[in-house]
Amino acid sequence: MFNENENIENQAPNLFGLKGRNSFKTPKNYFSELEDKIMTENTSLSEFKNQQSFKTPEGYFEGLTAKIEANTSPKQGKLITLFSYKTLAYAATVAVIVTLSFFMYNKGGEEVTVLTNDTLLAENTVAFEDLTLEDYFDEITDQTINLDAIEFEEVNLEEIETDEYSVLLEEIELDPTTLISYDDEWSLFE
Amino acid sequence: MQVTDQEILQEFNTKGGENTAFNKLVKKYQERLYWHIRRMVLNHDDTDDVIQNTFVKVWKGLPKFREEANLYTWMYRIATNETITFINTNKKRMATSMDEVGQELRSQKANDFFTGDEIEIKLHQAISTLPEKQKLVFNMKYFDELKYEEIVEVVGGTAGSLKASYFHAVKKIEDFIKNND
Repeated sequence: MFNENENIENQAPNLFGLKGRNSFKTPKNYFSELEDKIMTENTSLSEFKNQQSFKTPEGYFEGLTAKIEANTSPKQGKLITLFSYKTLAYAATVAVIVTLSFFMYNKGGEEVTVLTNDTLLAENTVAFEDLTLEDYFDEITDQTINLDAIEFEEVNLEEIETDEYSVLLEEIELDPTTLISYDDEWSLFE
Repeated sequence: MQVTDQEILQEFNTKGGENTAFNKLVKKYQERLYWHIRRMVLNHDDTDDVIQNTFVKVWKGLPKFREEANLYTWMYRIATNETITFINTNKKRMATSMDEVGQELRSQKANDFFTGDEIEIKLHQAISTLPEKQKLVFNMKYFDELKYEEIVEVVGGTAGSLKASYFHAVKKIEDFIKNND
């Protein structure tokens, strides 16, 4: 059992008897050549980093600005071309697409009407202020009803249970396309 | 008198001084790093590849190196990481098992790349049976004689845990050498 307090070397004489030996070998002059190899690999690129090998004539950049100014004419107006073949081609393509879309949209002379709920309601119902009870029943049934011939029971709405109310509504045979809400229907019994 | 790490870093950070400073750094540490790598990979040619990769990383990392850190352990850590990466990449052809290590060293002996006797071959075979981190700790303590605090900077952990790991490694190797004599 190893004792950490005791000198480790005394506890492993075979191992520490080998200490200091290095039996691995390297090729001759390896380390001096390694130094050169490493230096070349890592430093050669950095040497070129700040070098500028291309040359220009003496005083070139000083004369360049004057040369550019001399070649440009300040009185000459800038010619702007309004139309170009490219622009015309794009415009023509867009026009064709719009025209084709227009004709396809209006194909067959069919009039397409977008219906909204308000439109449907207006087309399929009559305003309530103009509607009599007889008109109403005429609207929702196929038969013409003579209201005078009908004996109406007095109905106490508060006594009606939910199920009876549902039955009442079923008897009326509501047409869903008339878009009359149940609230409006119920108001007719008041 | 050998130049100090601080002097090398100061020269490196001086404009135009990078190359000469780096040259001094290579000269100062190449052998120590070489042997650290060689004891892990065993083969000279592989070691040559790894050490060059190591110094490429050192060159690239030096501009960002914090001067308050230890330059040697930093380079040691780079060398260790490059070695582990190399071993993992070349696992299939590398001598990692005890028998493969024995074969490799006997082969090197035949080519004058290893001059040790059978007991030294047994030592390296025993080392090859250690887990990777324990192997590193053992090599750095036994062969390179680094302090535990320096080894912590390379492999992490605490000085106490590394000391315990080293003691276990020593016991295993001693028993291996005794039992395989």
